[in-house]
Amino acid sequence: MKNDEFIKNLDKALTANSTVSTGRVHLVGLEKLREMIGSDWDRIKDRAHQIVRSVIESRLSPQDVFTAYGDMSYIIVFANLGKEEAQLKCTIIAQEICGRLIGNQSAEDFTDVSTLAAKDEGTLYFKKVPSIKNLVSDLEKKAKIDKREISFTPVDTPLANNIDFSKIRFIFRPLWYVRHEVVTTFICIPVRAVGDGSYVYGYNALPDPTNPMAIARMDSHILGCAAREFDKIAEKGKSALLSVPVHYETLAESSRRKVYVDLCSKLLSRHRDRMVFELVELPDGIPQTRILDLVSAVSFLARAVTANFSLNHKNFSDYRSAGLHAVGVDIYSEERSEKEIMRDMDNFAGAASRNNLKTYIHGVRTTSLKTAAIASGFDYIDGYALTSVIDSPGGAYPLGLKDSYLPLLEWDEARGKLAARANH
Amino acid sequence: MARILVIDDEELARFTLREILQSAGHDVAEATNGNEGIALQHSQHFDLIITDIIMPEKEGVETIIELKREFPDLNIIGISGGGRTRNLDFLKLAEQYGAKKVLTKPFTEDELLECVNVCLA
Repeated sequence: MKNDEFIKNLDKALTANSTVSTGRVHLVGLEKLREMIGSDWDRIKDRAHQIVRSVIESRLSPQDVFTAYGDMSYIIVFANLGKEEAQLKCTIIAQEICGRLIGNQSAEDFTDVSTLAAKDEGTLYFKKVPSIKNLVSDLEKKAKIDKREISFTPVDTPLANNIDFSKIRFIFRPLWYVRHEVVTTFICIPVRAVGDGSYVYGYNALPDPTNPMAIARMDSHILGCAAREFDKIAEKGKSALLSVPVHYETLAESSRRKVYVDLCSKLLSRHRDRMVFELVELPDGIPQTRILDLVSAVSFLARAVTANFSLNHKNFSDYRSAGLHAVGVDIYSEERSEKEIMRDMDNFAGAASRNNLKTYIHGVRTTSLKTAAIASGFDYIDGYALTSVIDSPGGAYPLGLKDSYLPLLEWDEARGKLAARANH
Repeated sequence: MARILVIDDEELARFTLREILQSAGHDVAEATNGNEGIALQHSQHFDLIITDIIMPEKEGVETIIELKREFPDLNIIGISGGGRTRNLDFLKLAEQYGAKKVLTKPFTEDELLECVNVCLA
């Protein structure tokens, strides 16, 4: 929201309701969060602010307004909440921000929430909000609390319930194991046709890709698909590993995690030695302890647990001891020049290998990027430069480095035949 | 004296090759990737092309396949070694797809010039 628009809305909020007071104007500060994230902040700050705005927007009513205040704070004005309720909501917002950014909901350690207050002489200042425990206790005493607001479990919204899974199908991308020149693993990807002949992939196939309940339902649906595919592969007398994505939101919250793990135990325990979980959408600043927690939630159900990061992620210290088998990136949507992508690929693979982690790379779409990925030392590669997606995996198969150039040669042969035909 | 095109995305590598080849009396042109190199070959018809393997936009093996398709008699030397792993496999492929000689980086001035002489003989 632009500043002038904010002032207009603020004025509206303050004048439309005679009870609006300084106690409803709050400041959420991210300075401590930046300190915690350290040198990685510069790399992730744009994404971090995007997440902060998204969290605030999702928690505000239409009458409430907010705006960025300086580089590291957000001002929020609540039109209809009392001071304590507004403070509580801000604290919940701060906790959600911490959860999304660093995987930790101890907001008091990493954010500052302050309330606009007036001194006796009328000077305005921001007063730090007391701890959430005191707030809840105060509110309970006043018996005004809406307990639903304290819960961090998002309400199961109609959008989460209203997913038409008949319109979502699954495709599989073969993952090439470079060292042995063989495809052993198939990555399960949800897709939905969007009408104009194109498709949306992954969680974008959901009506609301940011809704944690919808995401969790999608993850559960993927497990069902994996179980069916394992049966089909077995019927063909073949063997293969299947890699399924599991979203951070699904494992981060205890009730969603339990549903997911229980379902996985029920559907896939006999395929444990062929299952790979890929943790996706991890918060950029997630600490190693939180990764350990997420990995241990699913590692007993799988042969390996991997995690997807952004291409400029470099700090992998202790990830191996947290139980991760491999770390990877998806470059399918990268729009930078290949030279820049290749430089980051080299840095990523180098940093991971120094921490004894295997590496994988998704979405390699050109031969030059494929060659660079191999030279950088990536252990597993997928993308159109190597293989096409398939509807159903038929089992592991060999794929030599030479084979990856065959399309170029086939094109050559086809062109030769056309030329010969033209000459006759 | 021959007309030689050097294709490499690394400025320093191109500079070094140019210095060595020019001091041996050759006329040298440069390209930063396979696409540029193929375009230059179409307009200038070089006697010899020396191409790196790991490059953006169009890498070396792909470049050799395309050059040999258009110019079957063209002499090509494939060079590599800058990556972390498996460069020898790429050089083997470069030979299979038409490079007359291959060189693993780092190589000496003598090794390079010997390769060049063999290709131009």
